Amino acid sequence: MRKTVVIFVLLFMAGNAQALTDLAFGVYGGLNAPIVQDDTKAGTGFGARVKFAPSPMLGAAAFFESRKYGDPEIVILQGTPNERTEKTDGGKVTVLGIEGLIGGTGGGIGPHFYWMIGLGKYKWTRDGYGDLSKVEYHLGPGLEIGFPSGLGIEAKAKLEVVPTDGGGSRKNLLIFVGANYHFGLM
Amino acid sequence: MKKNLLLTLALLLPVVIAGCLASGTLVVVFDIPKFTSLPLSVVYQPINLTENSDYEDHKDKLKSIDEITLAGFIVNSGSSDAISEIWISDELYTDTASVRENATLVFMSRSIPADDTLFLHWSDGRANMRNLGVLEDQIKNGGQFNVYGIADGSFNLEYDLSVIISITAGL
Repeated sequence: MRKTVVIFVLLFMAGNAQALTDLAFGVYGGLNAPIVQDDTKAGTGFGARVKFAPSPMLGAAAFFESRKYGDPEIVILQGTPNERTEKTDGGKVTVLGIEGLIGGTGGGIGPHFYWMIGLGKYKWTRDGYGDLSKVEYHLGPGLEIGFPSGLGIEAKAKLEVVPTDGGGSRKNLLIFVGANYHFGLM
Repeated sequence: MKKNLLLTLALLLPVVIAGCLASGTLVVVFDIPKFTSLPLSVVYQPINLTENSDYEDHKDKLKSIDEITLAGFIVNSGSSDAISEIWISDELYTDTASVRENATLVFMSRSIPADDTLFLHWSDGRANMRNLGVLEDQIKNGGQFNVYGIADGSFNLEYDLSVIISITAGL
């Protein structure tokens, strides 16, 4: 057990030691899951991110995401001869944002675990509805495994909170997988 | 500097999240009992949203009303085309003139041909809604009011509708 932990720590350190300063570009896609929002259903999304890590443990990134929600369904006139299942447009979301990264942010060979925290401009568009434009905040972990070629595969999860008028919020769980290319400046 | 920025973000985020995390968006569907309206016997249909458990459970924790719309059937059994109007009021009226004079118009359909049925999908109804602020006030203040269905001239309209209300409320 102790041996396993030591190997795990060494792997993390090895990865971080590879690149002192790193610039990386990545694309990703995955799940866009609303939390306690009956007027939407889970959908998909994809995005692109440029990440700059001036040190192996600290970084910043800018990203763009395009996501969609599934169409929600309800039953109207329940229990009557006219009972129907109705659905409406779940809509599309775009987010342009920035985030800070703490942990294994520098690229290099091996696994790199990090945390991200950030904010962005959230715009939700639905057919027949007015657009909702708000600031979103997000927080979550990521894990990237780097290869010698400079490529890395990555999985990350984000809890996104979009405060709305009246003191409520819309919340989403985002789970993405993707690939990064590290230019590795130093 | 960057560390300070990250620290500030890290401190602010939990405050923002804690303030609004304990909320959710619910879709309340209230089926209005079917009713038929004629010019000489305008029928009111009392609405009591507290009969809906989702509304009843969250009415005191409402943060916002995100959508109000109607879905269902309006049957024009009359001999001429009709544009259906739905009005609401706390009071009781039995003729179209009193309804128009005292109640609030909240819905206006497209023209429904004689002996035809208009089906409103969830996504359709919203464009036909009027005076949503008054409806929102009714929903925020107890959710009990009367609904009237009328049209110009001679009409014979049968309503079988559901009110769909999306609310954001504390959990």
